[in-house]
Amino acid sequence: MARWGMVIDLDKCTACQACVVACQVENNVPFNKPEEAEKGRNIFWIKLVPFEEGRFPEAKVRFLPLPCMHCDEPPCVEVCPVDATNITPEGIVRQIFARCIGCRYCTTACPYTVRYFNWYPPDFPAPMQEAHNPDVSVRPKGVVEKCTLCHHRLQKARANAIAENRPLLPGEYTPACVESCPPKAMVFGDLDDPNSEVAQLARSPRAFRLLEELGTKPKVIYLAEGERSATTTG
Amino acid sequence: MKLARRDFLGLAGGAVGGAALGRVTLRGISRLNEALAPEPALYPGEEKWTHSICSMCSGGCGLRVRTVGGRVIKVDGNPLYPVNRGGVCPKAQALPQWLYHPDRILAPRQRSKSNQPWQTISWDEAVNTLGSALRRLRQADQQNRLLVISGRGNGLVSQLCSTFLSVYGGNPLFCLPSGMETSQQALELMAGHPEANGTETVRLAYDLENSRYILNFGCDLLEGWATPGHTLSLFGRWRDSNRGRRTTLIHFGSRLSVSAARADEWVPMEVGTFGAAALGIAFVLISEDLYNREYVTNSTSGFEDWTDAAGRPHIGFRRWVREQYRLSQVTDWTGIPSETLVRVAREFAAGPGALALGPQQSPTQPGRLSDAMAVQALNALVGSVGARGGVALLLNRGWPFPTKDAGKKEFSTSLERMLSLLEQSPEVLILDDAAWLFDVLDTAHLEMLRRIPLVVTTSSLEDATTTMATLALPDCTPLEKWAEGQTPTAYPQELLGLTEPVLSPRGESRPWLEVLLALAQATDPAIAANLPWKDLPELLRASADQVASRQSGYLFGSEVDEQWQRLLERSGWWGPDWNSAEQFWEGLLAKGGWWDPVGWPAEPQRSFSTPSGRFEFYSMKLDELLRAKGGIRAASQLPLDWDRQILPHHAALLPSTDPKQFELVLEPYEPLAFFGGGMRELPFLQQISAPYGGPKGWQSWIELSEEDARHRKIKNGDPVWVESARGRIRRRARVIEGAMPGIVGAPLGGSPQAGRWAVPEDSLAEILVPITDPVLDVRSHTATRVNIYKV
Repeated sequence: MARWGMVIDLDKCTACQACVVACQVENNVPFNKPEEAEKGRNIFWIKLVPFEEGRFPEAKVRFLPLPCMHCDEPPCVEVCPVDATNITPEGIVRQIFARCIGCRYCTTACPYTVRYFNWYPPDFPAPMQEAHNPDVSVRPKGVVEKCTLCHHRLQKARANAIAENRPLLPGEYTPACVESCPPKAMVFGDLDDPNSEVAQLARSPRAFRLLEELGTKPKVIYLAEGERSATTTG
Repeated sequence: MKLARRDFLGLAGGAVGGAALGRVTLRGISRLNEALAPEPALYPGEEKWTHSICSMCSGGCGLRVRTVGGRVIKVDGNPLYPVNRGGVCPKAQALPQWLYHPDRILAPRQRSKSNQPWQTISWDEAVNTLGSALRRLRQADQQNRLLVISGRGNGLVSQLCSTFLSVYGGNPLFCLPSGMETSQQALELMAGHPEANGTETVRLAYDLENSRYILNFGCDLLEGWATPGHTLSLFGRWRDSNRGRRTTLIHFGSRLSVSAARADEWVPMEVGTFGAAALGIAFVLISEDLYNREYVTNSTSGFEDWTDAAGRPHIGFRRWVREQYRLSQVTDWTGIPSETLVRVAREFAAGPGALALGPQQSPTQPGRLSDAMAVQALNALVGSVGARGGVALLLNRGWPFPTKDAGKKEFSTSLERMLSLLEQSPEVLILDDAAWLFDVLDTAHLEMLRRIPLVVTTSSLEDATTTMATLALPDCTPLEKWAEGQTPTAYPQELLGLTEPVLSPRGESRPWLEVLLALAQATDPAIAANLPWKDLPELLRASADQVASRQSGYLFGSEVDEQWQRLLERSGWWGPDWNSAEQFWEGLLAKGGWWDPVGWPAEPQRSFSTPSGRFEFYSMKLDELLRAKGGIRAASQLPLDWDRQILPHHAALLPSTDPKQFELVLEPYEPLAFFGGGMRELPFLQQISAPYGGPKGWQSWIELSEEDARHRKIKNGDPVWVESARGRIRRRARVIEGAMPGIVGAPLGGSPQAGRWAVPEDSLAEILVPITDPVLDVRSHTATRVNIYKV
């Protein structure tokens, strides 16, 4: 059984946000209008978070693409009273929109703040709904939504594999954000397959996980920015 | 393979849900499937993958488009397209939102004045209205009262349009500048203009893929620069440990841009001192004897002191730099510590693949010639002109325009010339994909626009151009027409892309090229005789036949094919992918394009097409140009400081105003989301416009340093006034802790000015004070002294 995970190489990330738009298009994520933006009620299943460190001239700005961490010990699942969010055996923390009662315990419990509440009914002025991905449902007002690691793509890939009577091939299932990344800073695959690129990168000395000390065991692994000095003088 | 719903649930439930039984109830699984699995009854049709080419900016990345039941669902990069090899920037990702935008203009329409309501008309009426206006002007011999401004790249549409204009009355076609103009001119002056026959021009190109150490003088590489799809993917390759040594990127500049933040090192410096910094590095290279002595001795001129034909002594570049650009002096000008200059210069000279980029190549700020020459002098010192990983001037062949007598086509990117024509109250103004123009127009210009009797827009969306227009001839998105790709700005290889429409145009929208062909008929059959094609495919076919006969290049293939082709050509082989024009056309359509992967010089360039046949630190062409400009005859005595103007040099940029009044310097820039102008109407792009997490879209902001904000008691998100000598505008403040004090970053673009999500906002152009290059007489910078205070 696969354990799906993602590695994001911060050294290669250009902060272009192609992943952000790719995700929104793929998953029919509602976009904000000027008034909603003003209230900060935007929904981004993956968003770019800037971190400013220090003051001029010793300053550094870091950019962190932030999807759901798909924790092995997800705090959001613990608090959901109706089992609207749970973790699959393959490690995907999923959200069952039809079952969500909108209590928002999970948005509060998530230390990564990557769960979003639908404050408004879906509003896609005609003919914008023509571009909706038929593989993903549009969420109603009052439910929480989040990154599903493009779970629908796994279902499709697996159905294909079963139909052709073969195992799922590496690379057959890739979330939209990973697929879109122009500098190829994101890598996706089976963390339990020691030969997969994602597992090898996850063992890199540059690898770290966000808020590891909370014991959430995230399956999104970041690679810290490379050391320039080691490479330019060589 | 089609699955019945029952089978599908069985399979998916078995695979996904089955193993989860330990924790999830059966009811849960069925609900999950309900929520996530597609409903076969509702599934809107067959899924297909087709190819197209983006036209959101002039770059033209290859696209792979997913359609379901004839609807476009998702756009990604085409892995076979050499420019982007699979990745695309966020603008291309947002293409479906453009295609299905609720404010698309779906039929031609007309109104008497820009404040009157629109009336939908037929295409015949629309074309005849414009055609008769053009005919009237031509009969009155007032062809110069037609002004056409475009935002398209240098493809067939632009060529057709400029041919139309040249036959019509010798009018120029004004295009969006690429920002490379000044750097290209600097290199042309120093390294010469390669031999080109009548129809070919040259273009500036960088072999960034093979660069190993890049000194970037102010280019916003990761924002609006060249072709984002290409540059962004290169950035990943530079830092790919599988490719061996990492490419080091050093960013010089005053603004803490995304490029500065993501570079290996950001060297903050005073505004307008790129030339001084480059010459400071040259000082270290020369005084520490780090420059490429062999190259400089054998392939350059003007390095040592010399005497011209008339016996006048001239100072050499070596002595010029050693005397005038001592590190203490350079530090005074630039604010860069001398240790940094020394360290960077040593690293720059340490290996092959060193490249100096810049200065400041953005469409509205191409930089100054003297700075650009200083940067190119650095490239010459390390032997990177015409070398692997360096800079070169290449022939710009593009799509051949298949007509015998095209007349003299003229493309102009001079904003000054365009604005001066605008001031002469033209009768007809055609704005073709020209939303970018509104970033450089202030209220006075907009007033001029309102007085023009016939303003035509080709915009497919309600945008700034439609608010001014009285006749709309809506174009469609690239997905709805034959898309042609051409060599992108600064790209090192020659390339032509071609794809069929992904779907038919929405409503009555029609490709501008086909409208132009009809317009030629309606204006004058004599013009139409020069443009004998019935539609775009016919023109493309005629052009492709000429490419087929060039006997060079290959159809697109994988990266493995590319390596193999390079290997073959180095050994003197060329295996054609086609035997006939017919086969070439079919191959083009099947593979998506043609390119020449071996276009970059294989051996370092040794001879240059300058008067001396060498790279000239002292440009004889510039010498000639300045003499002509100043009316100095060849034999006459030259002013004492003559050499100073010709050699790469530093000169103060910003006019000295009372520093107490305007303490800050505002630097405009193009965020990636609005690169190439336009597309402010797409919510997806609005949401990502500020990577620094500024106000989340739909409004413009300014970025200022924590120190400047503290002094002015300004907090993040506060509304502020930004005031310059020309006026003041309102913006939201974004405080950036690490930004350099005294510098204000201001994005171009901003909220939409038309359509359902319009948010009225002052244009940045209201307060900008453009600075003109003293030699080229074109706008070089729009950095402006400002003050900022709370509303």
